[in-house]
Amino acid sequence: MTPGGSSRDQEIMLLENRLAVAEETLRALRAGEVDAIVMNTGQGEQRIYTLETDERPYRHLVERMSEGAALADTDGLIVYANQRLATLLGLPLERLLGRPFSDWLDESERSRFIRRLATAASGGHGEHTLRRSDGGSMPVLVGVSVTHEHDGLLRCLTVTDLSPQKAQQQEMDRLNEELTDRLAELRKLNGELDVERIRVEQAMAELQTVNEAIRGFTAAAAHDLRSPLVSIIGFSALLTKSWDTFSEEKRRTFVATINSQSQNLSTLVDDLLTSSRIEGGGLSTSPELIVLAGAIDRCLELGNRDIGSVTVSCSPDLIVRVDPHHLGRILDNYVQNAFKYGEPPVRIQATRVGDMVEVRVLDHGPGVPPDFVPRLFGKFARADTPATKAQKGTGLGLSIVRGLAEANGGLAHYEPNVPKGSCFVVELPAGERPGA
Amino acid sequence: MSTPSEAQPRERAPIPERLTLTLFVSGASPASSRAVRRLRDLCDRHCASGYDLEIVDIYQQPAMVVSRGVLAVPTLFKELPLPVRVLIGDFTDEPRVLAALGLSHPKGD
Repeated sequence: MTPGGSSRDQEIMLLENRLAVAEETLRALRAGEVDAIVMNTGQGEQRIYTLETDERPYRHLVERMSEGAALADTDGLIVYANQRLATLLGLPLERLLGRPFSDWLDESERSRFIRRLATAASGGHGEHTLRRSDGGSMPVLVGVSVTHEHDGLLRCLTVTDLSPQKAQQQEMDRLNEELTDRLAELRKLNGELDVERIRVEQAMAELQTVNEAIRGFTAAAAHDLRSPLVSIIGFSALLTKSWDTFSEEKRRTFVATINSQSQNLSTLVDDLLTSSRIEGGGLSTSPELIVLAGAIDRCLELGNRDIGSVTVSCSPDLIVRVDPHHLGRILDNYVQNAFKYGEPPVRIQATRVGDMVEVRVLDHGPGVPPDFVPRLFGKFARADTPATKAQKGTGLGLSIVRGLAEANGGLAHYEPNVPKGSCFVVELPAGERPGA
Repeated sequence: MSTPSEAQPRERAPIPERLTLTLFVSGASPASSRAVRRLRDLCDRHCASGYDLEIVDIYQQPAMVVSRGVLAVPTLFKELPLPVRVLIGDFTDEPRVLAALGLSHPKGD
């Protein structure tokens, strides 16, 4: 086989092939077996000519789809629209043709849409508000793409009704918000419940403390009431039964004991009554102007105290404006406490501070345990110390002092004495000497 | 089955080459749809050794239309076995198509 012969053979074969393809094409065209013909424009581009039947399924598809569809020319005017778009706009189909699609958009969105249309070389989409012919509006998604046709560019528009999605979104947002609100409410309620629970627990604990205190108080009060009563009953029975057997002196002693125990009983009952009145708000005060130094002296005399063991520092000019009985009760309680629970030397000092007179009763005993100080002026307060254990008492004294001080416009509190001991303070309203 | 000295008999019984086809269509238009349906049916019935069929939509792959010089649609290229044959139309004439694809086997061949 020579190269020349081979070349000719090949050429013949090529031509035969091309002829066969041409004949095959003609045959198929004549037989109506062809859908489309591809033409070369000569500029490296081909154009496809479709036969009438070729378009039909696409037409059908576009007309029946649930989106609106339109083709717009280079000026943006609609040259084709499907029935669905006309329905979305609420217009007869023919009214759409020859008008720009932007006419049916919300005015504020038109320039944005026109810009998109002009620059949509590779397609894109955006949300818009469609103005329907009936005046209503509709959220839509408008997709834009470009197709190059022989007589210029065509814009393909697809319009999707977003109302159902928007409604769904709104419903979801609403539900979400509702859930968030509910959650916050629940959290708040939970917090409130916690606070309430803690409050109830605290109240329960307090009640329990008070309950225990009342039980202790009842026992202490009964005991305190009983001791003088036993004395009184015992001595009076003895005297009744064996009056004659006792000497005159003995009988006098017995009667004196009965008397002093009756006094104790009376004081105790007074305490209980006072405490009850303070608590019930039924305490009445009759304030008078009192020379404080005199009141202190009387208190010490009545209390049978060795006046020598108490030093008093009080200007004779100091006047207080309080109920005299209440003042006596306060001073007596402070001084008695100083001897019962503290240790001498006991000192009473009074000074004027502004509108008030401050009276301090100091001793040199062990002082009040710091953890007991907050409850010191409470009812039934008895610290757990050797000094308190050694003494009888209802635990009412200091609560009565505070109640009386407050009822008279004053205050009562405790401070530790330095270097040791207690300092009980009462502040009372100062008064001016009459005629001063 | 064969030994190195038996080279000749091997050449006389070549392994049948798998039929490789490329069909150009224009979407779901009538003649194109018919062509796809008929070609599959025909190959399934007559091509016992199996076949590969690639379907190209001229709208979706315009570059291939240019490179293969497609004139009218539907167009079928029988790529393998060689020689390449071009068939145009919707394959109405079955014996002609079978002959073109080399699938007509008269008895005793």
